[in-house]
Amino acid sequence: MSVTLRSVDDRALVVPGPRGPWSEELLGALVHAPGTDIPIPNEEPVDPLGDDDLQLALYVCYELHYADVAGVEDRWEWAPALLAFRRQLEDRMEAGLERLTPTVLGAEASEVGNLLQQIVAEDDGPPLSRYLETQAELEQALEHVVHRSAYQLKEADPHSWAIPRLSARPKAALLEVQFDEYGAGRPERMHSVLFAETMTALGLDASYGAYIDLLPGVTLAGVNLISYFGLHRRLRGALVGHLAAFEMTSSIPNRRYGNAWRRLGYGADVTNFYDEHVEADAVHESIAAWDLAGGLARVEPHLAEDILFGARSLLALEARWAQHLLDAWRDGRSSLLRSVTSGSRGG
Amino acid sequence: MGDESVTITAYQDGPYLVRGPFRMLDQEGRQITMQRRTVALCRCGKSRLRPLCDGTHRAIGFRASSGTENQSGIENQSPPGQTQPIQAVDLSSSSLAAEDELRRAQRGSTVNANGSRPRPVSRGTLLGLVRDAEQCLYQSLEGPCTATDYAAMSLAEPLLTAARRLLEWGVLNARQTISSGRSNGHGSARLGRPGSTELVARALASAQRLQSPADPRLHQVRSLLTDAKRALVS
Repeated sequence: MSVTLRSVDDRALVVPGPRGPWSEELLGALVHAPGTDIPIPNEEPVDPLGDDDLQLALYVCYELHYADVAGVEDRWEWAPALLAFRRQLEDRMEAGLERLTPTVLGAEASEVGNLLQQIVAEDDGPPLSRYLETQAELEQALEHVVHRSAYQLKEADPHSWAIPRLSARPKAALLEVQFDEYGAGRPERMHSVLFAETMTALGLDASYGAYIDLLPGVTLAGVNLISYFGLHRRLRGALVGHLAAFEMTSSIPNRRYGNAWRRLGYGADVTNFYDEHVEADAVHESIAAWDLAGGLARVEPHLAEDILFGARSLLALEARWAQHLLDAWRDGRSSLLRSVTSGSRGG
Repeated sequence: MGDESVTITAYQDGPYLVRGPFRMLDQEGRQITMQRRTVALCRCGKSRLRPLCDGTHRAIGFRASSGTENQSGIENQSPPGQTQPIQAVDLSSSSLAAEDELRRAQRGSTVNANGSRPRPVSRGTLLGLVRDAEQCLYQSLEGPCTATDYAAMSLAEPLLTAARRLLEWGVLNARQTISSGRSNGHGSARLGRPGSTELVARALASAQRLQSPADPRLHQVRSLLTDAKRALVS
């Protein structure tokens, strides 16, 4: 436990290796003091939402808001050159999202709760959790944990950006969820800490960002999506919709993930994280859908479309990510950029 | 809600949330320990964490109003409360349309290419495929997971996927699939559905060719199928 808490408390990101022109330009600039403009590469990614290079660059830009990035001056976080470069990345991300899940106009604010239910009910993403529960091999289940570590080691943090931007009722609903996410006053119950314990129990490296170099763009895009929504006040509706859909699609898959580890012969030290989410998210989903998202739409009806856009974006990116894992495994490949057993960086 | 009173909120199609200084007891008066301040109590009856909710209501399509239901009793297909169902009409009409398509598909393939009379594949068989598979899955959701459950799920999983695609395919162009699938063997004796393995394998192969995300019909068919499935399960 103490080992885990220490590693969770030590939130420092080792600078990842560059993967292409966008991350090369960014990482090349970050070793210097902030100031000079970061050149925009000429190469346009064909699929920005799945681009390993672009998503890594965006991930590093966002990490400056969450963590110490080794060897990078803290002042880069708000350096105009960094923000201008990040805007270029975000423009491409936004264009990709608009292609993937076009905003549906004309959503009725009073119907947001119902519409969210409908969107989630109609979602038929790839059966990743069922595959893990019933068939996945140990190596594949471990890969799933490694993918998830990009978000889960800072679970709930990106959604907390919404707190100061909401009015009383939706804010109270969000905090009711977040208080629970953060362990209700008990750090050892904090969801990010529980996840670190799961990783440790599986013999994985639970230190922050340990596997960044293994994570493909399709994985990083899912985490970048929340930071992107979270760091722009204008996108608070999308952030809230994202959280609602996230909570609404969490309990059942998490039960399956827990079952997957039980099937593979692991105990409570591994499954605690998943079992906790079955129970917790069964509480959160109602609050997030009706009180938070529905509540926000009541006080700011013009955000209704954004709320639904956020929900659809989550489901669409999750589906792409799940398909990536299943495709790789079907073909007998690793779903990571390198197999996890080939060792984490510096490991 | 800042005072010390206990509140119980019924959420539409979901659990009861209990907030405030409450204690939960079993019938012997022993306290049930709660891990969180706000708890969700199961309302659909299918949770594996009873009395707590575990999200299963969503898997089984549980419907209930947030407010008081009227005395005329349960109205399964119509979403409750003042809010009108978004697609109340579509729900039944699209299920009917799906059934109709399947019926047409069946009629259109009563004779094989070689003129022989194939073994009849009834609409009931197709729908039964889906129902069987769904049941396998829901059972596995309810009980403790044993090795047998996992075996059942492994069996049900591809069948469900295939059956779903078969229905999708059936709506789009079932005739050819069924007539060709039908002339084949009796693969899946294990689930007591003669011929279903071949049928499903062919449907799968055909459906996969159609699964281009660019196909605008796909979304339409999917929501149709969701509705049809909902109608089948209830």
